[in-house]
Amino acid sequence: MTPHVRDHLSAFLDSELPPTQRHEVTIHLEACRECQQVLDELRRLDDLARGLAAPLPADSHVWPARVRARLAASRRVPSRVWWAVAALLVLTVLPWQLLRNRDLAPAPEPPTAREAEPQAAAPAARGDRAPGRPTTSASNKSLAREAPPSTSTRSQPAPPGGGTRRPAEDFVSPPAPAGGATAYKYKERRAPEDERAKAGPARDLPDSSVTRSAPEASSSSQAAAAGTAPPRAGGGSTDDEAVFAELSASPIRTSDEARARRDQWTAFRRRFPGSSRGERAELLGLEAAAAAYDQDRREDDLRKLKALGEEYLKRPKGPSPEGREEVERLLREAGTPGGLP
Amino acid sequence: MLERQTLGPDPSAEVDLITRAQAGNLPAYEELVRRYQRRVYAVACRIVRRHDLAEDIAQEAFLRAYRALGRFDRARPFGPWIARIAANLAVNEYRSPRRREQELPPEHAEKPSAQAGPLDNLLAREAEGVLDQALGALPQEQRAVFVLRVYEELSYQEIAEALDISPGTVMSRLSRARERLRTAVLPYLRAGRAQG
Repeated sequence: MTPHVRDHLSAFLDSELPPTQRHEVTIHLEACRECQQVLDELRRLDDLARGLAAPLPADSHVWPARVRARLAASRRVPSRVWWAVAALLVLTVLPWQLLRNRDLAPAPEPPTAREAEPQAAAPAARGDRAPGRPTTSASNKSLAREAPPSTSTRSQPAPPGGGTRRPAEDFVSPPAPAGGATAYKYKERRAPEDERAKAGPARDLPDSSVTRSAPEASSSSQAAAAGTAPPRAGGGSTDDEAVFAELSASPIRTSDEARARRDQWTAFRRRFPGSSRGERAELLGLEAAAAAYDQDRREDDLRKLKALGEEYLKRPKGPSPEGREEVERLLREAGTPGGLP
Repeated sequence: MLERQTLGPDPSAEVDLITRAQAGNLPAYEELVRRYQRRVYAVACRIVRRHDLAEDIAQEAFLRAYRALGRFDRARPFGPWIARIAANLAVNEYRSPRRREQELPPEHAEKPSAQAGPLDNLLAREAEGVLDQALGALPQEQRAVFVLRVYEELSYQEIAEALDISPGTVMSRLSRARERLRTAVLPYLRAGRAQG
């Protein structure tokens, strides 16, 4: 009899195994009562879980009106406030700044147009940001993850379909239609080389809903991880949180992007050695390293994957049980026997 | 799911609502919120297991969905889309270090369904209680994958997109989640089979 297939039963139950593996599991199940029993128990488990009643909100009857009110407010207030701020800047700050510059100038020489430009542009640039909509504490952090810090101040709600596309919206945009271009291929899990060849082309990774162009996302993430992004007020954990959010939100579409992301996560850990997100950054770096190796099967990618895996497993604070399991799986799938150093 | 069946929105009416909402008609969007609020709340609450957070997340999900509605493909169902937004927000919420998870107090835990389960009533209630506890003890990331698969019936690819992880990670997390849950309720599952 073939070895037990316990690890594949969950995906088998969901019809999510590739054809070759599905066939193997089917053959095994015909001969193995033990695995049949586990499969049956998994099925019953799902039924039992579906039997749990859905939790109900306490005051759901007021939600629709509350959401509507917040939407209406977000459409109304910004324009008023914004025009007032803009007018105030133009009427007060700008003339004052120009007068002040003239008074402080050591020589009576008038500034050239080029010299005056940045001074005039600075308040205008600040004013270009719409005031932040008050959000719940829950939404603040979600926004931080979805929108890079450099653009988060522009996440002002707009009527649907209108206005400028924003990163926060991009994340929740509907998935791209089937057949959309995706450059990144993802190896089927645990399928040996020859079986993958038989099974046909590898499955596409999701063309993430983020429609920001890859180079743009990649370069801003790189800058963020390396610490070249503009510092944020408050520094410390806020920086760490913002950079983590930005890196997490940027899509990976190609093996080059996977390599870049792997290195960005390493840079993140060096930049924020005491970050509470350190372990997660390590795991995400490993995942990116595995994705790069999956795609091109390059020796140098494999070496880096192993090195990162070993580093993680020897981390001073010790790996979490789930992290260890995940890393061992990644290393195993990459062909590192045992997965452990 | 029961909720899906009872809500069962008429597709043509829903498309009409979405079309009007896309044109900026807030009452139409309010109606969409009314139709899907329970489902969205349930997804959030099952993941974060706190009513106050789930409420925040559900409402924020509707706000975000509205802002992205202009690009929503009306040929697609609205429910899975808004559920995915809520799930993503719920997972992000959990990842934030400022939030410490506080389990739902027992009196607020999900109540066992009145419907006949796969086991006898008494045993089923007990099993559901044990399962609910085991769900609460799952790591959040595993729980999110389990919720999206079992309650929302999303494919691995859809879950991967919603949570920004790879399909392989979905597969392994789901497998581990199910194994933990199965172990927790094993006596009930076996007792049920013996009786069935």
